[in-house]
Amino acid sequence: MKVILNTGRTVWQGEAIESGKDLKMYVDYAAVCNMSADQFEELGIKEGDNVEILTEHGDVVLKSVKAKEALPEGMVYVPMGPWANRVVKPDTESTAMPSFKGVPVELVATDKPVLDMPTLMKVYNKVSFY
Amino acid sequence: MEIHEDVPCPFCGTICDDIICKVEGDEVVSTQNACRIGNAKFVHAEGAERYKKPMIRKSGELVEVSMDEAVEEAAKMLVESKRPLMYGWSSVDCDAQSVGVELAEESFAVIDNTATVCHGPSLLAVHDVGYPVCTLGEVKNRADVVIYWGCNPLHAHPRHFSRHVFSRGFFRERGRSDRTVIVVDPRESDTSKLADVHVQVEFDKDYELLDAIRTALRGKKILYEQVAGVPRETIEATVELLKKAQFGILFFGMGITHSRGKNRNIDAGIRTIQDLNAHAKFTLIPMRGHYNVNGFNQVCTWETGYPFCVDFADGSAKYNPGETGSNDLLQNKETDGMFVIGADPGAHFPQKALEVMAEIPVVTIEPHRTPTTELSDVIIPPAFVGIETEGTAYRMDGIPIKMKKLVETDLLSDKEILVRILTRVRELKASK
Repeated sequence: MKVILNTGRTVWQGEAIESGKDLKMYVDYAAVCNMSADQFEELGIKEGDNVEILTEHGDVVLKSVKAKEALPEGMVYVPMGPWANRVVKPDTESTAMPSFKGVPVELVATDKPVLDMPTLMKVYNKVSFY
Repeated sequence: MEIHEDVPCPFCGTICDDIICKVEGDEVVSTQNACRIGNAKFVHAEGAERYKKPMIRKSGELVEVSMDEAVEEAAKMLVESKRPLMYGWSSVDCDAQSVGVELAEESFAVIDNTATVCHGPSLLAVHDVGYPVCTLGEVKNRADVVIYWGCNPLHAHPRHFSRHVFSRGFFRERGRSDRTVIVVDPRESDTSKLADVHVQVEFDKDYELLDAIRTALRGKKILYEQVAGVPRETIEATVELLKKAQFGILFFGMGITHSRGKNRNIDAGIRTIQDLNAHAKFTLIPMRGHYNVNGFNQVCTWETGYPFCVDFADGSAKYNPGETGSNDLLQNKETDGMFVIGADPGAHFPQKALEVMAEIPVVTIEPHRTPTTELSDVIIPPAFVGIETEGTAYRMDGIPIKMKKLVETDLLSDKEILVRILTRVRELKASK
């Protein structure tokens, strides 16, 4: 399903980043995809099932949740963080600012697991200099 | 047990200054008046990893090292990199930021801050069209028309609405009922649910809507039945409401700085406020995120002439956002060493920038385990400003606030760490 990705703050994501980004609450509140009822129906999934977002820039698995703040048609909302940033548009268009909102993405149902923060960061294969 | 009153909160740019903190030993154990995010910042959460010793990633594993060794490696990285990038600076105090600018100049580095993924477009717009601002105190005491455009303070600045809209002011004795609130957002956000008028703009169409508002403001007819998904009648009625304001205020956030058009959206937003001043007193304040992101833009501007993206490659300050922004330098693989302080690019930069952070040496001054520390080679834990050490921070409206020290710590402050690195950088350069 083609949708528009919107990212930003939620108060629960905010609480989680200040509590500790290594805690489960960070995954619970930032690795989620807020969706509307008709999107659940179209994907044939129920709340809590995992979804995958795919773009030309990357992919990420998230837990689906019902949006408490109603979304316009065709939009999903993912709290800001390392999960959302796997799929946003990195180009700054010469403004120094990447595009974190209004990104066209493919949304599919998946059985793949949601990664916790340290596991997610391992995909970048940090090189050791010491 | 000690009780500290009137404590300024070191989370968001609102810097609420009425927090009550209960301290036991060297820990804040509870708070009053803080929002749930502020409370989480003051009170250490069970199970969260707090770094207390400097560390270096050796063969993939973080190993505790002495402060001298960590400082040595940080200084070496800055001296040996051809194009070091020094990023962050939003959760540290102004004195530390000032040393940071000096360190960047000494290291021929680029110094940039979190505005680059936040209100950077607003800074660019200010260069173009100015900055008609006021203070949050003026908003509370005077504002009768309040616009929140592309921001959701109920989530991002949780007490902003209660402190400046619901609260009673000198000329707004009844508080909320003396004010008209307009929210512009494509979503039915929790803030829009509290508004008198919700203008549900189509995403990425903020510029078009601002253009239509300016058309109506100048007494011209809007040529289309709807613009950006908003009916012409709604736009015209909203403009009439704005024109009647005694004191209007525009708060704006990432919904407009992150959307298509970026700094051009803010150009149009600021010009709308300028146009409105032909009819009413109108001002604006950007909804700044980190409590001291504004402080960095102030310090960097008075030290170098520019607010962020400052390039010292040839020894003097140059400024070219789009080339000298952190994401530009990382994504174009121009930087070969990164220094991070008071920010978490690992969590808030796009994947393409992180791929490069993984390939270059990264030195991070950071108290917690974060996505950035997962990509760091050297980690130095500082004391928290506003909890373990004092310092100055600039609120979103440009008012400097003295942050308090509540508990004792053995950890060095950000400034002390930076001074040590600066000293060592100078010694290394002198020995070359």
